[in-house]
Amino acid sequence: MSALLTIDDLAVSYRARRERRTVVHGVSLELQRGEVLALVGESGSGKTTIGQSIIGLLPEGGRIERGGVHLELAGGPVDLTKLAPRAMQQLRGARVALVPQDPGTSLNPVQTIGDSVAAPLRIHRWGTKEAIRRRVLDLLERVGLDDPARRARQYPHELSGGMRQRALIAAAIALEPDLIVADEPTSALDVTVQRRILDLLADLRAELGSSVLLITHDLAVAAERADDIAVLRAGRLEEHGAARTVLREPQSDYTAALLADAPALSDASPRLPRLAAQPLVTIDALVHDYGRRGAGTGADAFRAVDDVGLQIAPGTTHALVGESGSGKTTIGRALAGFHRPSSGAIRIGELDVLAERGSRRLRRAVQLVSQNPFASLDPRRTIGQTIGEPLQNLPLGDGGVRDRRLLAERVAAALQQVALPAETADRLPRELSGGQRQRVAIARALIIEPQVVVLDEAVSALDVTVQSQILELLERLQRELGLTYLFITHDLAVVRRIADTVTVLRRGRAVETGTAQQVLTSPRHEYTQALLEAVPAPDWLRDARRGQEARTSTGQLEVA
Amino acid sequence: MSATIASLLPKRAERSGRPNPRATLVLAIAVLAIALAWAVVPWLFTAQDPIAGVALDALQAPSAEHPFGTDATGRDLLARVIFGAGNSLAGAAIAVLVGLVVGTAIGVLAGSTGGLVEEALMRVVDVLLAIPGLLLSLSVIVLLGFGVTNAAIAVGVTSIAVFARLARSQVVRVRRSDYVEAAFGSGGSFLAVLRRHVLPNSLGAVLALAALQFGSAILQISTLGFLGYGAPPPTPEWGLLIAESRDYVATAWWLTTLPGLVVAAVVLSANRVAAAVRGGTA
Amino acid sequence: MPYAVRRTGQAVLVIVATFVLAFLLLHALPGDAIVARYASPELGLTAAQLQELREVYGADQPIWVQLWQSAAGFLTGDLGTSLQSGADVEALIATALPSTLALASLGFAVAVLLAVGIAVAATFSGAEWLRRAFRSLPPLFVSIPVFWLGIVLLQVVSFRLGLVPVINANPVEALVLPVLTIAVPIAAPLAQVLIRSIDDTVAEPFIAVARSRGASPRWLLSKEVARNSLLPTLTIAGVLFGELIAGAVVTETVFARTGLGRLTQEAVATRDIPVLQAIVVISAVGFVAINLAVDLVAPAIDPRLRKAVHA
Repeated sequence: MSALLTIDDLAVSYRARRERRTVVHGVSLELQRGEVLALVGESGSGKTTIGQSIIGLLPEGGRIERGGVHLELAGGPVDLTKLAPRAMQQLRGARVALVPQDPGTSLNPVQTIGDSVAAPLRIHRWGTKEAIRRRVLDLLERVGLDDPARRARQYPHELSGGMRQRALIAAAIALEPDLIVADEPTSALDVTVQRRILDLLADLRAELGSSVLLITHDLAVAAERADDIAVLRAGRLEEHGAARTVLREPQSDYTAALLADAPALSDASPRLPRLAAQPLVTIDALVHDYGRRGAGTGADAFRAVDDVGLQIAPGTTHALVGESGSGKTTIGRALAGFHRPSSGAIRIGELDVLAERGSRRLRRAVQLVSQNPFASLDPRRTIGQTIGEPLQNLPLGDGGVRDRRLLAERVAAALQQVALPAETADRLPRELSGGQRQRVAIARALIIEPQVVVLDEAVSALDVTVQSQILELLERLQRELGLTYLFITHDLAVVRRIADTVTVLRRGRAVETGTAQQVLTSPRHEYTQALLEAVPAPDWLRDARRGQEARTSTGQLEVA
Repeated sequence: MSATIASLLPKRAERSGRPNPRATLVLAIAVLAIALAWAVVPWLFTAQDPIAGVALDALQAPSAEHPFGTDATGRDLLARVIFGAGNSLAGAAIAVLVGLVVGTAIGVLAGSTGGLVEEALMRVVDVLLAIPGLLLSLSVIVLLGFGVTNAAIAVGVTSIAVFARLARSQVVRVRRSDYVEAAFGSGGSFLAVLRRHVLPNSLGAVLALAALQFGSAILQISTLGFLGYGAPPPTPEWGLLIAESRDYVATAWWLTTLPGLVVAAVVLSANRVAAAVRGGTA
Repeated sequence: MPYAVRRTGQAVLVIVATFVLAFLLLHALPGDAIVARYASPELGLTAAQLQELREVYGADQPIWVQLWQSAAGFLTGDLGTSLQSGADVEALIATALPSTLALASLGFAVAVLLAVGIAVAATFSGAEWLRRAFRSLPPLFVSIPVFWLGIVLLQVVSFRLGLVPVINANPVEALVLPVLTIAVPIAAPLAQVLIRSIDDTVAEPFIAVARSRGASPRWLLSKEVARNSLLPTLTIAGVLFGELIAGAVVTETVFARTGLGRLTQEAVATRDIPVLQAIVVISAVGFVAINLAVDLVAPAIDPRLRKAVHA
């Protein structure tokens, strides 16, 4: 059987500030008819550029330097890079279709869902108005949207992210294309939704016999869904082969490192519960309402946190897990003293957090590290100024430092603590990578020696290898300094690696709380089970994990 | 660089030798530098008297001796344009300063305090915006009287609202940023955070607006001069110069055309430099 | 409270505040309007005569009484009396308005055509140099003094080429050059905003998605870009209204046309405060009404705003 898609020595360059930079350096790939090829890589690996080259939509300044993209069509083979623009336009949407990354911005906001799905049919003059209308309703039903007639009349902002992605998939399959390019189709979605969307894509592929090029940063998604995997790094192919082979016997060191760092693919067991001490952090019956005051009166009132309680032992990590809208960030910010919840109590040791809001004692007890390392550093101040600032804020005699030399010494020590070279102090944030910035944010939080650190999705915006390094750093600092973490995340795979205890949140309520081992290996609540099930992993790894669960639970029996 | 519709069209081979954007910037800076030199040391650029004319030389077309020609009373037009630069540029500077100082003060105060103070200040700004700019400056002129400085202040008043709005929105944007939250979170006081983070990160855009307002202030001041509310004759002022020569449109084309071209060139250059300033701070 | 009611309430509040501000500003003159107008030595009026004039115009009353009387007058359509001619201000405005309306509405229509043409050419034409050329037009238009443009047009079109007569022109001929003059300062900001919002829309991911469905440039412009670019453009309608007023003042002065602009220019020259105050307040009402209309129409263009309307 000949391949549907053959990429042959493809090289792509961009014009950036009057010079050309090559971002794809001669990549060759093959995708068989009816199969799924996953293109895996971290940011800057060129995976999206390859997808754009196939569909003929490189952004302005992009140019194919050499190589070919051959598509085996019913009428004979074509080289997409050599095709006249008009001929390419006729192929797009009909033979080659795109499922985009972010369903939030990929639908025209002033067009109804029905019109958006009908667009490829109208563009390619598929049939009469009435036939198109019926086809749109069929498609919406096929992708699992309830009440298609009503959905077709709605606008994108009235639909959830998952529903929007279904509509985009409906438009992509409208003309039964031979090739579907799915560019990070689920990265903007919650894990449980991600699973359902990937299932839908798999069903449709089987039904239509289309091939799928799945572009993803997530090796676990690739491992679970692809027949073949191609690993890219800095525009070069690191590895290309059958999924099973690539995952089990990686040929390149880079793939091996990626595998080791991907939390979802790790078969390490969760942390064993440590000796329970007096809890350091106690959150009790926390409630928070957004919108109008006086809970539940107005139509826009919304209970973000509903009667949540938890305890964290000193020197341990408690993970707060949930999807978007679960209230996890609200709880973290309340603990860090950034806003006052509607009711409830929060204590750190003897300190009443809600009474001390804004006080120096609270600042010295708890610090927050937020998700986006690009937004959390002042772009105009050097790293040294940023890290040293908390010391300048504290009064002299209470940990404050004014002496310049002393300040520089403390900054240097803080940089060393987070494994950054001392000369970083003179740099500006824009000169650092995302991982380095997050180290700076951590150093700033730690310089006033807090007892508790709230980490709000602190590793979510980072590539897996960087993520793994930051997690390692956090673990080391916890060991050395006896820090207590509240670790807020949507990613259960990360929880497996770092947490001692876990609370699972859903729509503001704690559905399950317990030790990491108990929650991750024998969840009681069905939502936790669904979350765990949604973490992508190939079947053989699941099997391995089940075996390991059996071992650990018997191990515990022996101890008991 | 933003995409354009045209980028969707068939690509042609990239053109070499398209105008270098830096070249127009250099040209603009040169034009402004000359205008500034005219304003500071006009006598270095012309030996002619801008006020006293030679009646015999009246209404002469441009020549080597009078590059811009002469007006109805025989004054050298180029000399009047050169000596007029001082009035126009100083006026524009005053106007921008008035808008910048008053507007930014209002905006920063509103944005950093919030609550009732913000609400009250921004309603005042709404009112200032509701009166069309020219009418607002005319009202101020009626209040203050005619004259170069008063016209400049009147033009400045019209830009207070724009500066206030921008300054407020910038302050609010920076205040919501993660790094300001982190600064408060590490125990920073309101004033320390304002000084260290909010002002430095807000004022870049405000200064870029000031640069942009400079060109528009030159235009507005010349408009007031043209309407006769600025400098009294025979002061050389660019707007007044053009107004005085209206009676000769049929016979002496140079009297209106050349000073107008100078104004347009200076304004265009000021806007070009402002665009570069904005690009640099954004 | 429904959005439309709340928004209208805000608009009324701004108008009231503007009225008070305009009144206070123009009555904050040293002495008062009567002194400013009549106290010059060459009129040779005695103090007693001035006092009499004050009483006639009501200027001897406390300022808040005057404010109240003036406000009551505005509400009943009595805009006061011109200090210069003694005529009713509402009569002066009523005579001046039709000519200015004709000039402004024609000028605005030409400006819209010009701006849309420039914006489409600047984003849509095939050759890059052509796009660049059209992109450089709005900054150029912004930098040209309007009064100078009018004079140069007069000079070139009427005197050099003799295309439009200056003397004995019929009403249509008399409008050609003023309309062109006033259109340029309106078209410039409009084209700038249009180009920017088209650029912004084209950079949106949903445009790339539409292209991936095989959409042609024509489809993109008509089906995807046009409506999304309209809203940011509408938001500057109020600013354009201000430009129209300023344009009318200058254009009518240059071409010696009667109208509101000319009336304004004369009122300032003679410090005729009741006339100026009436024009300022009426313009502010126009500005606020236009912005109100834009805010109320916007939900029809962008469905995302409809939620806010019903909330």
